[in-house]
Amino acid sequence: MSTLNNSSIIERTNHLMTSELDDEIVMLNVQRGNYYGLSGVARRIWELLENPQSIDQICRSLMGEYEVGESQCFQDVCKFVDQLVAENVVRVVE
Amino acid sequence: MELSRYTIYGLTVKSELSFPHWPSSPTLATECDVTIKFGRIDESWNQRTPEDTWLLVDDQDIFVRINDVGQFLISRGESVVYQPSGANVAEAWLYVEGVITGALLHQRQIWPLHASAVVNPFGTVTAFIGQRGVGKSTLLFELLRRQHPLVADDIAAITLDKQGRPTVYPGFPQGKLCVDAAENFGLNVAELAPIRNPERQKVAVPYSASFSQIPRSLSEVYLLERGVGETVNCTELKGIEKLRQLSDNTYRLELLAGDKDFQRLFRNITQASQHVKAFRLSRPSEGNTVQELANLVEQRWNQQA
Repeated sequence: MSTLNNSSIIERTNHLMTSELDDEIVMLNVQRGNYYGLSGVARRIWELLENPQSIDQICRSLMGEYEVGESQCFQDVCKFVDQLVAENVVRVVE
Repeated sequence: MELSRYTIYGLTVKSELSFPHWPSSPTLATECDVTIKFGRIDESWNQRTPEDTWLLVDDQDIFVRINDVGQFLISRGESVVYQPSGANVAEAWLYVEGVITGALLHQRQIWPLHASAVVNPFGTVTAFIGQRGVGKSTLLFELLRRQHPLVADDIAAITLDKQGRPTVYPGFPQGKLCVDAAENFGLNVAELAPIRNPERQKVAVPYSASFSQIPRSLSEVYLLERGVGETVNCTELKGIEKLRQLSDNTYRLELLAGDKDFQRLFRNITQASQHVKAFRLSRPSEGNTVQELANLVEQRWNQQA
């Protein structure tokens, strides 16, 4: 179960090198040597995290851009952010 | 000892070991990029290298220990010292043009792609990557038979310009073909130099007639794979999948000295990927399909023309 809530603030860590390639954002986790490719909504969330954001801020931006209900959006964002946290490419600052 | 001068992968090499199949260097200048000499290697390298491994990499040097052939110390991308020992010292050349060359290229920050490569009809380079034994060299040989000039077999050396556009520097006019493929092509295997290989017996095949010594742009890469289907087919690779394949098929990543080198390589490959198309070329799991594979590649070239 996710420990995130609407007011959790998320920020990127410094363990990543990122670059754009064929409509994807590709990243190297410098610490672990893993690669990721982000496209679609995942890419958008990553872009929103350019500056630290609350889960609520992320959701409001996405709901303005995509056809998605509030509770679904919250669930999906938390799930994705949890994955990013597990990979240590973002952290929860408060 | 007499030094021979060669040019491989765009580098001028002076060597005490002889490589009759490497192109001799055209220049009379005394400068060179790499020297290969016989010599003594400090015993501390051997002692620091654990028994169960063959490689030690630090910031400036790479130490390579090959059973029954000897020890190599590769330094700053400029010098190779070879200390021969054992029953198979005559095989040293094989390691020099393989792992030692890979080490030199990594140290010089030249991207060595584990690939076989030809000049396509557009005058740029088509490279074939894929796991050992998947048939890169066999497909290469078939394309040479069809008059497409050789760029490299096994290692393609790639540099990037300021815009990240990749250029391939040709290797040397020799390929390594498995014995069964060589026989299928009607070569007289008894006349070719055998290459000992724990997995598959190979032979060295001279390709001097069809070798192109000109550096050229890399325009496309095919990942050769054994698929599950009955036919050969081809699909484009994009984004992270393209990047992953180009990175995973970089020649011996274990030769990199550390995280900084890996990050630089990642940045280079990402830049190069913007300028290169990549495709997955699947062959059936069984059977000799080199003709079909070569047909498919040529068809794609004809469609682009």
